[in-house]
Amino acid sequence: MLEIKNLHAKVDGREILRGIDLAINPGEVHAIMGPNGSGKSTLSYVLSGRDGYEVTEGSIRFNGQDLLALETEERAREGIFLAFQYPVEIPGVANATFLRSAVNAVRKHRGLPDMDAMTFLKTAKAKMKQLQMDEKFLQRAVNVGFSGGEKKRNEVFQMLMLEPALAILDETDSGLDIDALKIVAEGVNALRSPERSALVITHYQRLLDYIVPDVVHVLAGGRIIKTGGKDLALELEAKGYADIVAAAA
Amino acid sequence: MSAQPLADTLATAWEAAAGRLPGADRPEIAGRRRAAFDAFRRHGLPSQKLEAWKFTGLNALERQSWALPADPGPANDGAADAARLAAAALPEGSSHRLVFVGGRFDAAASRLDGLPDGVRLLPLSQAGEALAAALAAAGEGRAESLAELNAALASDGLLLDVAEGVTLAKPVEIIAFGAPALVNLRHVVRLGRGARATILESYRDGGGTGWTNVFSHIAVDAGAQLDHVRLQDEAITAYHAALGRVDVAGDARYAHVSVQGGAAVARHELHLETTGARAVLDLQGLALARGASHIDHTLRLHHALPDCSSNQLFKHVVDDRGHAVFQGGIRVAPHAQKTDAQQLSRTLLLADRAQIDTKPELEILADDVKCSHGASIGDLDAQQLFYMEARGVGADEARRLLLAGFAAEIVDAVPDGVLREHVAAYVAGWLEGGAA
Repeated sequence: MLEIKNLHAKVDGREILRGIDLAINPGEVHAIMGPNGSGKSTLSYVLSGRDGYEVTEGSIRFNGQDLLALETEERAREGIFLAFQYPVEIPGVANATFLRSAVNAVRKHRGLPDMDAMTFLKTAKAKMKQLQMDEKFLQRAVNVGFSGGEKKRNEVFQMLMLEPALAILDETDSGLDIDALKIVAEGVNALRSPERSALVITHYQRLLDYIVPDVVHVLAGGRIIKTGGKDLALELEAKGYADIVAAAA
Repeated sequence: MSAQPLADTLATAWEAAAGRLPGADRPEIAGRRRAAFDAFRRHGLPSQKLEAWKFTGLNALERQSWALPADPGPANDGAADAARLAAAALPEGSSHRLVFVGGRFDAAASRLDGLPDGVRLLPLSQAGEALAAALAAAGEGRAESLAELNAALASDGLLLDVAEGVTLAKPVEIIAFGAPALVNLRHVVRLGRGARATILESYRDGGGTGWTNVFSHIAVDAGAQLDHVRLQDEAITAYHAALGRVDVAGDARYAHVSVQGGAAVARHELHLETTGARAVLDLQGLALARGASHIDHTLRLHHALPDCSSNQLFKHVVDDRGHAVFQGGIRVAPHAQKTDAQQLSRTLLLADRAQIDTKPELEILADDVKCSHGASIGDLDAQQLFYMEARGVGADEARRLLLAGFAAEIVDAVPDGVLREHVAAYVAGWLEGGAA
């Protein structure tokens, strides 16, 4: 599904990613862990095509396509979803308006007719119930005045509505208490299927108790320095990053 | 194209038209109109040397030869184009409606039936004795010269008088279609004590390059409440200049929303004064400028008495070579203690050559007041655009949603119901490129 080869990327002229190789097969959940500043968020932004993140070397293929040739919105329509570490507030734009526009853009790309307002509302309310979100959030401006936890839940809500092929969760656990974390994890798990994949970026192992990964990678200094099974996350939690980073250096 | 100065061509036009203007048969009105024209002639058009006109020039008016609209004869019935009217009006039956075409009342297109007792709603041309008072001078000086030109030439307008304690449930709607000529409309609105009313004042493209010159006098008596929504959507080659004087008495509330999305050059100027304690002025505006459009909102608030509050929120969306102007003048008189006056101007400049001049002007002579002003100018937020695009929303659609979100705060200030839907539809149409 996703194949990253020797990926190098710069931000503000500084090289952050220094040769990443990563392959995610359909149905797999991969976790990327690593110390602060290791390039985790940069990787998520490069995958979603954010301006200012310049790929200098390497390639990314997504379902056989050259991902780097696509605009951000085209990537999203092809099935890439980024749950933001810091969801953006959009005053004046209702959550429902924004999300319906997104859902229909993705549907149009897939050759499906627009989702009518009634069906949209029904579907949205069912997903919100699943995430224990108040329906009032549909009429509120996107993320404006939401608490940290509400913002993260809203990200997962959008993900459930858009049903992406590859979900990238960038530190979705940060700022969540344990109850919210479980709800969010259940939301992500609900999407797991043999066709869908996920890339879970996290600083802590805690989230991986609830979203159990198939593969765990350690990212440090812009490179993947170690790859293993889910036990690697436990090892990192117990020993910290220092030993592994030192061993790889 | 005329080599003659503007005042001379207008003098010729005025001489020709004076005999058929409303009230021409009454000496005191004919005399007042002549005096008003002389005052305009003496002062000429407002010049950019005046501080209040620094950012908006009317030189383009001098370069054209202006005529008054052709005389349609005694009746102007059915002059409004049916399709244009349907597109511009509130749903049939939801308003009391006065339609003007080229400055003349179109009775057939208007709806003045079913008025409650205590409400007088008429075209000014049929206002009889009230006409003389309506033509009274707004001031004596070059800054007010357009109001004097208006008094000299006003062919019609709105007269609304709501008696004490009366609530007018349906909005009063004025729809004025421009004409390829100089059109002068003059409106008089008076709300008695504790009365309530809502007005939607719309200026619409009537085809061709015209110049609409409006003067309004609005008086809101003690405890009364007026919601006044104004929509300026003149032809993109047209000129529009409006001056309004608003007096708001004690415990009264005047809420105004101005949306301007048309004209080559448009200025909407309001002079507001509190004439009693605890008056509330709630003022919102939205300027939508694209192409070479120049849109000006100028306000002068005089807090003359204690315990009054005012709030100004003006937003500007400027694209292409558009130019928006916001001038917010606040004067707090020495004894107007406990005044609360807030002002905020926010602008999105969407192109390199788009411009905004935003100027607060505060003169505070009392010492126990809360006054604040602020201005922000920027482009659309790149993070917000990226966030939307990362959900699959196309760049154009994301921009449109963000602009609609920026405008929403002004649209939401319009009274709920048909009125807000009407304004929301206009703004959405403009953002999609359909209007203006």
